[in-house]
Amino acid sequence: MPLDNPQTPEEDRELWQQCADQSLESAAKLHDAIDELDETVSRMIGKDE
Amino acid sequence: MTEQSEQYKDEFYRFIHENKVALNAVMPINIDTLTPEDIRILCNFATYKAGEGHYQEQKGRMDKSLIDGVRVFFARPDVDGPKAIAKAFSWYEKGAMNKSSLKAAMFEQPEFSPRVEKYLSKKRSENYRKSFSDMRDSINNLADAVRDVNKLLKHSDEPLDSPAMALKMRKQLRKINGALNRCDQSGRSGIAWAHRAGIPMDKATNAVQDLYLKKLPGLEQAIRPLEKVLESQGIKSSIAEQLNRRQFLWRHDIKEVRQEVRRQSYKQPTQEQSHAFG
Repeated sequence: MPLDNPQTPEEDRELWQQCADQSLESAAKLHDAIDELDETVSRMIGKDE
Repeated sequence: MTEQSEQYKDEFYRFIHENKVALNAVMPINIDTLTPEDIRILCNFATYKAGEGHYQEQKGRMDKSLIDGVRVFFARPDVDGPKAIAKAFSWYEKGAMNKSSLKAAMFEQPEFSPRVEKYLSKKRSENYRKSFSDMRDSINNLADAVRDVNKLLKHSDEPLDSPAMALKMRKQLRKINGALNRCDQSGRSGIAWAHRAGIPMDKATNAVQDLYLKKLPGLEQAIRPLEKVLESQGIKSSIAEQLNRRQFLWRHDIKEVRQEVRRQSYKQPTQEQSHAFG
């Protein structure tokens, strides 16, 4: 089903789901970046300082 | 020309007469021989003046006149259909007319309606894609800004508590705040679009809640000690505090966004209303 020109709500929903899935992938990358920063900060100066 | 179109034409011409001095500064007007190009210039002028604020008290009438002008334009027997549609779409693209005006004018010409609907559907699809690519980009930008802080910490030759490092750190933290602002905007927009597509509101807000209520506390925790170091260098930064406030606000914002999009959906004009007047 072509998604570049949705004509019906069903196609709109499919497009939305596709985009939402991609956003969740980006959110997972953000999660990793935050974990890495948290680890670096803890190691360098400690979180509870 | 129908009797109703004649009435619109009279109203539009009255508007021109009343603003003749100002309008004449833009173009000489002969109201008996207005061409489509004249109408285009008048529409642009009215939009420009309304936006400029010189004619705020007349803004409502100008908005109405824009629609009237378009109606007069399409009611002209000498206007070529395909060219008229192309011109209307061009006005819409440039923001010189809104969707209601476009529909109101076009629905008076039933043979144009399918093309208008197809065009608006294509626009909606483009807006969807832009809305979601904005959401994705804003999250990616935030992740990049967080990674940059990490790189600065790991690879800088400067001591962590040096003035030079403090300045670099403040710059990076500001980037995080800018990225968060974009996330806010695109999150709201994404929820609104989802609602219009008939996605259940709970499902639509999951991604935003996942970001704000699960991931940002970790970021806040990582940034707080960095800001303490900045403070020791006399640099005030409150990104962690803002992160805390954002989490609090978004618990409520999500409710507000839901209410807002619901309110807007109730206000959507029916086709009959669009018919009556844009």
